[in-house]
Amino acid sequence: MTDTFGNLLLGFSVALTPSILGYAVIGCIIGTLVGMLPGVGPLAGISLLLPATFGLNPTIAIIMLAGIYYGAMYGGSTTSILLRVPGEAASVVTCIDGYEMTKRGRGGAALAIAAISSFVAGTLSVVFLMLLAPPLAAFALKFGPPEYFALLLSGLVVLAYMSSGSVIKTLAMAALGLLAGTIGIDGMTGFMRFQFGVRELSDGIGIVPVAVGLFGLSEIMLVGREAAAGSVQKPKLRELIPSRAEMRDSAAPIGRGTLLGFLIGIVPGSAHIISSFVSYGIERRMSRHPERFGKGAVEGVAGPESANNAAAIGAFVPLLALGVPSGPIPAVMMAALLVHGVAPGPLLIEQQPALFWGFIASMYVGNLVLLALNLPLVGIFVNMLRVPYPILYPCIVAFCVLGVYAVDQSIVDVWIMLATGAIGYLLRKLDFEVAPIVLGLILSPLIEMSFRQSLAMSSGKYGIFLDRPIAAAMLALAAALLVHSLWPRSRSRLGLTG
Amino acid sequence: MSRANRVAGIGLLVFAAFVAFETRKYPLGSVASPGPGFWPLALSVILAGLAIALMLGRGQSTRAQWGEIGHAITILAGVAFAALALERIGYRVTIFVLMLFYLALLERLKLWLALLVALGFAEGTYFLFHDLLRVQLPTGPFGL
Repeated sequence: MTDTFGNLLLGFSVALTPSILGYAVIGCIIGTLVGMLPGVGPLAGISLLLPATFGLNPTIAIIMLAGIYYGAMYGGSTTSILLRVPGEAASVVTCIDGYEMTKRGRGGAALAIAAISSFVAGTLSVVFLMLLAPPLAAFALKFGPPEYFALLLSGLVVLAYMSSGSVIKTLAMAALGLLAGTIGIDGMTGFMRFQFGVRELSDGIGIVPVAVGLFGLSEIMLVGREAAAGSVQKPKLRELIPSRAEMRDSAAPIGRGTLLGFLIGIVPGSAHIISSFVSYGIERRMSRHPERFGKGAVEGVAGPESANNAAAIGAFVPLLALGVPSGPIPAVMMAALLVHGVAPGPLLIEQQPALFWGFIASMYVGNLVLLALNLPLVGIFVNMLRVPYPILYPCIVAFCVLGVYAVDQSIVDVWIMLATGAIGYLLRKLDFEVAPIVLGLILSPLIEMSFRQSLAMSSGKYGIFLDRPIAAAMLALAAALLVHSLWPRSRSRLGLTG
Repeated sequence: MSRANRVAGIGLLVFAAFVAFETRKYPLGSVASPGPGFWPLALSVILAGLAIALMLGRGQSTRAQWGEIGHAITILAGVAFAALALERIGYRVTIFVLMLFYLALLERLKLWLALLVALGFAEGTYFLFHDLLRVQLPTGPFGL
């Protein structure tokens, strides 16, 4: 424990230097603006803004990207509450009671409750992350290829199990992502696969063009030309103070949402989205006045907002401790870390303590910045929502081109974005979730390598996956979830369709 | 059986077959010591299985609405132009033309407004990313 706090002090000494603090503030502001844009959620936002960090050293770059991440999460809530337009999927639930509060003239209070919930949940979750990640990383050092293979495979199965749609469709998308990840040089033999004479494909398909295509471009294609911002209410500063009753009613939902969100965040899947829906359901069930839900209940804002922020931070536990992203957003963050020459995983804490603890400390700082800046500046931020959509979407498309090209100065990446945009559009029209493609793409080299290394270790005996207790337990869990999810009655009981 | 699932299943099956066909170029190795072709082949078989399950399974028969398909194709056409032009005529000219295409031709904004937004965006982002953040962006003829 003494070590942890000593390390945290080291982290704060990094995060509180004026220049880094400045970048954290810039990241939070840009992230908030991006989160408010229709069609650009945190995933596409981080991907698009990645080139903006190229000139920075890795510590500053990662801290700025983390700021963009929290900002984007918060920006989505603002549009949900004021306009009933969720900036990103996790904010859909916030629309229900947040917008009702706005209609009753309590929009300012709803924004404040959302910000306070995010701050409390974010701060507490960082404490959990700080306490959990180092011992988990130490434990993960005992992992060999069979354990990693089992962990990655079970992660994909859990993702399918937790998805709101069909398990078969989710697994098919994960398989598609895994296949896309085999393009380029085979890490074990140096053999070139699926390159089709395109030199730029030697290193494989980048995650940024795929993420921007699937989430940014395809969203713009889906929204159509009719999308227009409704009338935007601009809350005054004094309206941002919640009443004593609203604060009292929010306290318990924030506590429950934080715990629930953090735990769900660790589990693979679109955790921050699921957690907000689960939290809303729990708050409604636990409320003495469930009839108030849907009509402006402050608990319907506090619970889901704290849950989705806690989940966003919980998702960093497997990424930082194991080097395994648990969802598409951590996958993009992992890609960003790799671009800056930082390999997340058990050795990160040992080898680059300043970066790891600086990142942890910057999360505290980022939460504080969001609370201190975003509420007073909400009036300025909402002005952006007055920009007519016919002007906004060409800017977003141009940003997609710029962001994707700038990563590697590769025109092939722009073509990949175009192709994945078209594929994403078709898949979403046919009711497929596209997030597993991104996760499959980033996990593919790791999962293939660990599979083949395991077999090399055991001289080709597949029993190695069952002989080692950790690997066997994880594979058993994956098999149990797969069987359970394909059992029709269990899925309908869980409220999952498909 | 939903029509959308059947169409998607056929698409995935064709893709899986294509991947399986392509893997013939790479050594498969053995079950005990897989080569570079083994993993993609295994994945294509899994994908084909999932595609068949999708086609045979009971799905909700929702009909996709395609009202915005024209808009979607135009967006893609703009991006295709950008991909073709970016390294030939430079970042600023490409983005200026792309924005003008969307704003003036597609959205029928007043020409002066479209010109102003297109020029402002192209120059503004070039200044921010190229000049301030030192991101490499292509320049075309006459250094534009």
